[in-house]
Amino acid sequence: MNNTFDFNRFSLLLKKELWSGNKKPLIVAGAVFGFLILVALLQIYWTGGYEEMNWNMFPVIIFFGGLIFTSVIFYEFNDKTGTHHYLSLPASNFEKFLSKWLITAILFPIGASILFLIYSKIGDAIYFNYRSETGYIPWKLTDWWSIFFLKIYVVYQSTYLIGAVVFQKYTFFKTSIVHWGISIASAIIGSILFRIIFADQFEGLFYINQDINMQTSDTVIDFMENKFLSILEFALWYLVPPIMWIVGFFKLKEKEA
Amino acid sequence: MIKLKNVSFGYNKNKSLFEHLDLQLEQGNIYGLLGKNGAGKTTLMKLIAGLVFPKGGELDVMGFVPQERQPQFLADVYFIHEELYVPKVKISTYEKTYAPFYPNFDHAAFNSYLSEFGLEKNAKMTEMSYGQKKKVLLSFGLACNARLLILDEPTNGLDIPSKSQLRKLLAKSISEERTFIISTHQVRDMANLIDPIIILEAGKIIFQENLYDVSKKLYFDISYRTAEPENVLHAERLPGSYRTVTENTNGVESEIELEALFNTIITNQQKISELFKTNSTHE
Repeated sequence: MNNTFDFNRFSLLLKKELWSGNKKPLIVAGAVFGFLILVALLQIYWTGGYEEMNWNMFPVIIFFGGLIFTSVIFYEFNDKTGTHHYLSLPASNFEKFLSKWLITAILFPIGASILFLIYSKIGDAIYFNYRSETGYIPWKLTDWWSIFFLKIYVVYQSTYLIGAVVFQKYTFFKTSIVHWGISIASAIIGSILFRIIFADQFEGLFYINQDINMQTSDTVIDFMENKFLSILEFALWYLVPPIMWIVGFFKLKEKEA
Repeated sequence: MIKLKNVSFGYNKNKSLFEHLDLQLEQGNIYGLLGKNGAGKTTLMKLIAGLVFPKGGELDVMGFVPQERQPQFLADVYFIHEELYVPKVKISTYEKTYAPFYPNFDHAAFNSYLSEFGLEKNAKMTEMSYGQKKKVLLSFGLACNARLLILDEPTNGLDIPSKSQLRKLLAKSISEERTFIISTHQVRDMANLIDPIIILEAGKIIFQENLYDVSKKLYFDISYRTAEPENVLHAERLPGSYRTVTENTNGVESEIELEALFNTIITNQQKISELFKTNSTHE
């Protein structure tokens, strides 16, 4: 028996996480689905704002639903009496982490997208039955907008997963506050650095010289537009999440000790 | 089966609970772990189960290092804590979900234990009383057939018939391959079941003997008199009498009263240690 990863044991763990008889996620999913249908009906009949609704609602569902769900994924481990139950379960810490990761990073966005797709198809059917305006572009899962938000979700999920491990209570709010704090701190540090680097372009402490003639070479512009942004994008989509997941795993291991 | 060598542990850097703790437990026994509040009973059991990590020393439990928490080890240990945790599921779902993690789980035995405790499998665990939750977990723990079963205050919250049912089930379930460690303050509930006895005091094992040796060295008696008996190791007042514990000098065996034994050992550590010196197994 492999003590780090065993497929049978991992399947049991996934089954436990998904079908342990806890109907709460299903009830929440059903409630969200019903709420969306109701709002769609109201929009179609009264205000006529259904055209934009799905494009805006999808990121909201994915973000709020997914990040709140991710924040509570270690609820058993963070519970005073549940910790021992979690630790005593015969599975490796890697399997335990992987099951939580799979559910929040992969299965949730897939499940939520499918649910939203079903809802949007129903909504669109009702819409086209009562309104025949042209120009309405139905929401598409394969559209860049939807894919973009799914990718952004995965980046955020990786950080909220760390929050779920680190914080014992109010994990969603605490992680959000940390995010906010980091953003503010980054902005302040960025501004200070900008002030230091471009010191000769300033008049006084904060006023930028109005006569600045920033002559940026074509090479720099080319680098910024074609390479730097691509590197940044690559790092955001493909480096940040795995790094954060690894950090989350080791943080969990540290907390388990 | 369980070996602790020179183990030290503390919940914070400045204060140690265990220092240079040595302990050896053999399989096939139901060990009774006794001690005052804060003596370290629960922590010792958590160390054995790999739930807390030692600061130093060596731990060997059934050939495993507990703090590695290998799935194979975890599948062979079942720990029922005093503070219970149950998921929001029915007993039947709990069985379906958790039993497959324990390769030797006996479903028929689980059903029979549940019916002995008068529990319905479709009952939701979070809606049960503390005692009922405990009965489910005790049934599950016994049915797991884990080689090591650790019970922290198993009779707390159990009604009178359930306590005797538990004793019966534990006695029935013990085998040559299995070891049970039971920590309890309710020593009377576990009378005639736990043997050997381990007593922890302020993070040290001050006593580890089997009841046969205890009966050879100590004599338990009821003395019907009003004045406090003299020349005894321990005397406690009962209505119209005294329960006494004396050194067994004439070789007559008596029925061991665990509460009196515990109090005798706690109040006469030096004397008891000398008396049992020849039999000592923990040092």
